[in-house]
Amino acid sequence: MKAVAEFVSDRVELTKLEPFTADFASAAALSDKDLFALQIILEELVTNVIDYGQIPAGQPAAKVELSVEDEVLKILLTDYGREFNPLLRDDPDTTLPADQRQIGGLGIHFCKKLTEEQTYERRGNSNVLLLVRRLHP
Amino acid sequence: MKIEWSQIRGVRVAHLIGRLDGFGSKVVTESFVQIGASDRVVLDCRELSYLSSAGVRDLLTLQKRLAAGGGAMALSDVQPFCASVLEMSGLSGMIPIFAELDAAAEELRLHEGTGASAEVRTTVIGKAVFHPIGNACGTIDILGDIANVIECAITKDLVIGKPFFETEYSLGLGALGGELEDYLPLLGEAIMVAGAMVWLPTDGNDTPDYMIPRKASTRVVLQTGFNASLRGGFNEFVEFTSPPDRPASIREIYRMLFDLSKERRPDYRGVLGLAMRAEIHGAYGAGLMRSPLLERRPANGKMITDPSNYADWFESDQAPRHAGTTALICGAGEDLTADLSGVDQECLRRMFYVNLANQGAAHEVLHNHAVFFRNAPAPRGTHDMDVEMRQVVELGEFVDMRHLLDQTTVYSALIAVSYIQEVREDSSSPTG
Repeated sequence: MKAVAEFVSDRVELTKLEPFTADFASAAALSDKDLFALQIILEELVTNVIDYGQIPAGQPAAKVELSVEDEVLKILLTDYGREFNPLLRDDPDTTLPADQRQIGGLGIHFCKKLTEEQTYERRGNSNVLLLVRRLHP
Repeated sequence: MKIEWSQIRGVRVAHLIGRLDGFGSKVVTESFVQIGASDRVVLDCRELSYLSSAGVRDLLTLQKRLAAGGGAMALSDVQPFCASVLEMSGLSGMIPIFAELDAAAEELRLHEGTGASAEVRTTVIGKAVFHPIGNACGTIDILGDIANVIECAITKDLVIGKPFFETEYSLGLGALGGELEDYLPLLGEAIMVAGAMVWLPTDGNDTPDYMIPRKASTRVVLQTGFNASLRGGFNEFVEFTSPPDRPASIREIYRMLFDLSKERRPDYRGVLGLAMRAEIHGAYGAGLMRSPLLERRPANGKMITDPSNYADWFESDQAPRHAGTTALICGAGEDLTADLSGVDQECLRRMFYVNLANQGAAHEVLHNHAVFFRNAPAPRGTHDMDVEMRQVVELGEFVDMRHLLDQTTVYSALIAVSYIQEVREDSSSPTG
C-alpha cells in the first residue's frame, strides 16, 4: 500500500494532511493508534518545513511518501528547504517542572518517540528523512 | 479551532473545540490573552480532537504565566489522542488533569492564590514557603494521660470511648472492638487523619489495622487510654523542601518551625500542632509491643520507657525503612527553649514524654504518629491538608503505621501548622 502527497509553502496546505492520512489509514487498515502516530508525525514535520524551511511562499515545499509493507509503516519526507537534520537536535527534557521547560523541540521529540528508526540524508537540494514504525494491532 | 467560555463554581472554563495544531494555535494564542496571570481556569478538552506540539507549547506557556502570577489551571475530559500527546511531552504530570469538568472546577475553586501573601524562608535545612490559611485558635485536646501508658498503669476504668470524627487529626493509644476483654489486651499506637483510622494492635502480629468509615453515620468508637487531638484548625500551610542531597529530619523541621515561630508569630506559646504529608527518605518507627495494663507492670517497678525495660516493651527501628513512601503524620512538639508558661503544664505533661529511641533530643520533645503509603499521587497544591491527605488515603497503597521517631528523614513535606493556644482536657462527649 502506497500513497504520495505534495505540499507547497503555505500553511493552508496543512489542512490537506487530515484527509490524506485518514484515506491512507483506511486503505491500509491502520489501527487508531497508528493513524494517530502518522497524523502527529506529518503535522509536526510539514509544519516545520513550511514555517522554518525558508521556502518562498507558494513554491513546492515537501513531498510525503507513505508505504505499508510487512506490518511496517514507512514515512519518507523529502523537503526543499534549507539544510536541516532534525535528528541532531537534543531532545527536550520532558521531566523538568513547567517554569524550567524550554519551549520548542517537542515536535521532533514526538517523531522519535513514535517511530523505531529514523534516518536523515542531505541529497542535492533536499532534506530526506525516513521514519520507520512497526505497526500496532 | 474554536473556544467557548463559561463559568462553573466561580472558575472560568475555556471549552476547546476542534484541532489544536499549528493552525489552531493562532486562535488559542489570541484567545488566551484574556486569561489573567492570577486567574483560575479549566480547559475543557471534551471536544478537542487533536493536539500538536504547537498546542502543547500554548498550554505550557499558559501554565508558566499562571504559575508566576499565582493563578492555576487544570484540564478536564482529555480524549485518548490528546492524552497520549500530553504523555509524550511530559506535561501530564505537570498540569492537573481531571476526568470530569466538575471535578476540575472544584479543584481550582479550592486553590488559594500563592501570590503576595506567601512568605519564603530559606534555612540551613531547606526552603519553607508559608501560606496563611486562617486565624485559627488551635488547641490540643487530651483524653487520658500518657503517664498511664509509660508507667504501665492502664486499667479498664481508664479506657475511654472516643467517637471518631470525620475530620480529625489525632494520635494516641487505642483499640477497636466491642468487648472490653477483646480490646483491652490489644491497645496500641493509633492515628486518625483524613477520615481514616489506623492502629497497631499489640497482638504480636505487627500488622496495623486500617479502616475508613464509609459513611458519616457509621459510628466508630476508638477505645483509648490516651489520645491527643489537634482542634480548632490550622494557621499556616507550609511547603518545605530540603536540598536533594541532604534530607531533613523531623526534629530539624520542628526546630526550624520553632525558631521561625519565635521570630514571626506573636501568638507562639512554645507548642506546635502539625499535620504533615511527607515524602520519606528514611523512616525510623517505634511501636509499643504489649498493651500497658496495670497487671503487666514490670517487676522492677520502673516505667516501661526505663532503659531496663525498654527492649521488652518497644520495638524501634535501628535502620531506616519505608524509603520512597509518603507519610501522613499527625503530631505535636514542645519547644524547651521557649517560654512555656502560657500553656497548662499539667496537660502538657499528659501529652509528652521522653522516648529513649529519640536520639539527642535536648531542646524539644516531639510526639508524632505516621501512616505510610506507596504510589501516592502528587500533591494537588490546594493548601488544604484534608484535601491533600484524603487523596493519598484514597489513591495510595497503605503500607504501615508507626509511632514516628524524630530522626526520620524526609525530602519534602506539606505541613499544616497550628500555633497551639491551649492544651486542655478533651471535653467532646467521650462515651463510657
